Amino acid sequence: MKKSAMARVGRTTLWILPAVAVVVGLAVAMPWLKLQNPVIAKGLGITGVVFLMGYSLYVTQRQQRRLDEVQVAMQGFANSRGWIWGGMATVLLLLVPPVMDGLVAFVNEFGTGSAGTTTALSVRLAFFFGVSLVMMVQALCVSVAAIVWWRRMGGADDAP
Amino acid sequence: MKNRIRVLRAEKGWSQAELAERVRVSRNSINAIENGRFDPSLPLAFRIADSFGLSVEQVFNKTDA
Repeated sequence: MKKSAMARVGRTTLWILPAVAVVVGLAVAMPWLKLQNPVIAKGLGITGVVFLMGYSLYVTQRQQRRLDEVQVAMQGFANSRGWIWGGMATVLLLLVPPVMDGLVAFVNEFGTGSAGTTTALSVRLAFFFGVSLVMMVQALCVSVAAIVWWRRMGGADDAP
Repeated sequence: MKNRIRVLRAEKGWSQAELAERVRVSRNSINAIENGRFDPSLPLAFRIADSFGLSVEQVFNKTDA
């Protein structure tokens, strides 16, 4: 790998790291949070989510400042397609019975420790993970749409 | 819109990356413009033409002209 490519990967990793740290931190702290005062637990959860949203906006704004006009057009194309494709892909994904059953078992297990027991916490977690799933699939679809755009734009030709 | 960027680059011996650096856009963007897949804005068209020391008309022309 070229030095510039490695530097880019390193920079991207550093930018993503705070968001990953918060998500992993909240997931790891879940058993501890369950034992805490609900107000403190909810407060920490809300703080984490607000941080993630604010950080995402900050990173997006920063990245957009460096885009040239072709890249801005690409982003417009990718966003307009990716968000819709992502929403539809998530619905289709959830229509597959093993996926839905797996997700239900996952939130039950995560919330109550038993795959077959549903509580109010499981439902809350289901909402949280459901919205997170939609956003992740949409982000993936935006990336796919960006690749589609660049292929339409002529790929990676570099004739001297 | 058609353009002569590929020919002009070849004459100067520049790669797409070199031209991209001169006009402050990404190499992929130069590729898209060069292949006629993306029409640049007027300021960018002027920057590209300036980098070759030519006028915009000498670099870009209408497809149906």
